[in-house]
Amino acid sequence: MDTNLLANLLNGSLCLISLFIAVRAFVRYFQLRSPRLIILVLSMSMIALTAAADIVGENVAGMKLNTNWFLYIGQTVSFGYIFLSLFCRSDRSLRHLLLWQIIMSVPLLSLLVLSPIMPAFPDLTSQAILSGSRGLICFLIFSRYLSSFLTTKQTFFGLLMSIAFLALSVGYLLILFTLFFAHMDIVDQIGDIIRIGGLVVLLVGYVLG
Amino acid sequence: MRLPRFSLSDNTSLRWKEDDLQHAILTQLSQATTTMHHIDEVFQWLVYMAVHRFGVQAAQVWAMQANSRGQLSPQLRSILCQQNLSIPHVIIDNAEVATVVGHLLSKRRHARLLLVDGHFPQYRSLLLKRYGLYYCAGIFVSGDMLLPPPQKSESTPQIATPLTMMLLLFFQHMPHKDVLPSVDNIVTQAVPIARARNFLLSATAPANPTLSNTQPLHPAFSELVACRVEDPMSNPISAAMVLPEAELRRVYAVINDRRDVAELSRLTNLDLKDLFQILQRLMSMQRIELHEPAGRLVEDLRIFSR
Repeated sequence: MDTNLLANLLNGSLCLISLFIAVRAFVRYFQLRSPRLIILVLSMSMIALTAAADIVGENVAGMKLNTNWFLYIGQTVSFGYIFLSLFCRSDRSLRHLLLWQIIMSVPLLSLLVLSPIMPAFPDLTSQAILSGSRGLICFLIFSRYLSSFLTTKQTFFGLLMSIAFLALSVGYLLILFTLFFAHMDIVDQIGDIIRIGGLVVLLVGYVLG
Repeated sequence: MRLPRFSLSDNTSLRWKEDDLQHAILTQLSQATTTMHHIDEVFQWLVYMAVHRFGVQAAQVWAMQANSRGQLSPQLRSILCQQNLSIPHVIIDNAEVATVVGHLLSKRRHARLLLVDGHFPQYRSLLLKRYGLYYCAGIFVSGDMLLPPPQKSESTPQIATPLTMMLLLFFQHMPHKDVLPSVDNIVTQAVPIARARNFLLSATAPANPTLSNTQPLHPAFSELVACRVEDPMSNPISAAMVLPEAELRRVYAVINDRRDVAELSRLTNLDLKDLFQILQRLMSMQRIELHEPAGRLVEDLRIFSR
């Protein structure tokens, strides 16, 4: 399979699924007025934006955009806020978290705006750290859902979320191989397929869970 | 209002005799009470004395007050602030301060002189400091006589309540070490003076709610604070999260872990009786919890159903 096609499929899935979840959360917010929903809206919207920016940066001829900074940091921070929200039970703590997320959105969006002039990563290590941090956060989210599923409440939603974020973390981890080793196209494609699978499970979880 | 010529403040460099000052103040109070008609006027005199003679920036008298259903809650009886600081009364006369005072009163002892951070939540203490109120202490007084309801009638009927009050003092600077003992002595001596003038009633005990260290205070239903209960592990956008009835959704939407029942009633235009039913249903669905102002969880809302 063409690597570029798979990458576009992945980004497209990420963009559409994240956007779908964001819109559903936004609609639900007007019924429940829960800050948790706005946190989900902002996180998913940001993730969708990173995917969209990556598609544009990779495919639109003549546009020199270094969107990788925005892609890695934006996704890490967005998943990070989803992770932190899993520990917040009270409205008060969620409002504080939401405030910080709104504040953090400004420098994140500036990474997108400045992508035409953003430099390349200084070395492979820093690229690996930034890229790998997405996998780490997803793994932490997976751990949180799994521990809750095993110890507290065994719900269908919890199970699907565990599977989804495990798949995402594995997919992000496999990217690291492609950074350090040559001829890893097949690993890259496997990672992309796993991540697409994770995104589908994520969508099913939010819709049916 | 006439008070002794000499005064004590943290800035004074005058030498004075502590006993003479207190004696003079109490003599003045005895004379002033001859023209008074209600205990609230004594409280006004006490806060005036604290502000104008002891360098207090703001003084309040809070007392536990029972309504006709026997539910106790802290009520502000008198307040005075130094005029030069232009302190809006709402800074120290609000539900949050009432909650703190209720907690202090429940301990049945003086509130130690501390920075306001030591008594109030962070947001409130920042606001107090902005208006130059850095320190706070409370003089606690209680007795077996009954405190009549306030002069100004409240919307809910109130009854005479066993005397449990606190003179809350706010300072801009650390007060002289003798200020608080002096004020304590004056306030303590003011009680028998007020009793002699029949501003305080004899206890008739059985029909009235009495306070003891073992009996928990039950605040009014309207003072309970509603908090949402959310499971972070559940699907936040699931249709099951949506409440089945519009009124439930309306009330749930305005709950933000800070608003008490009175404010919920105002925001939703529901009377307390209807709100009681709705909150009871939300509690049974485990969507909310209700807490007393002091933070204690309300396990059973039926105790407030009277």
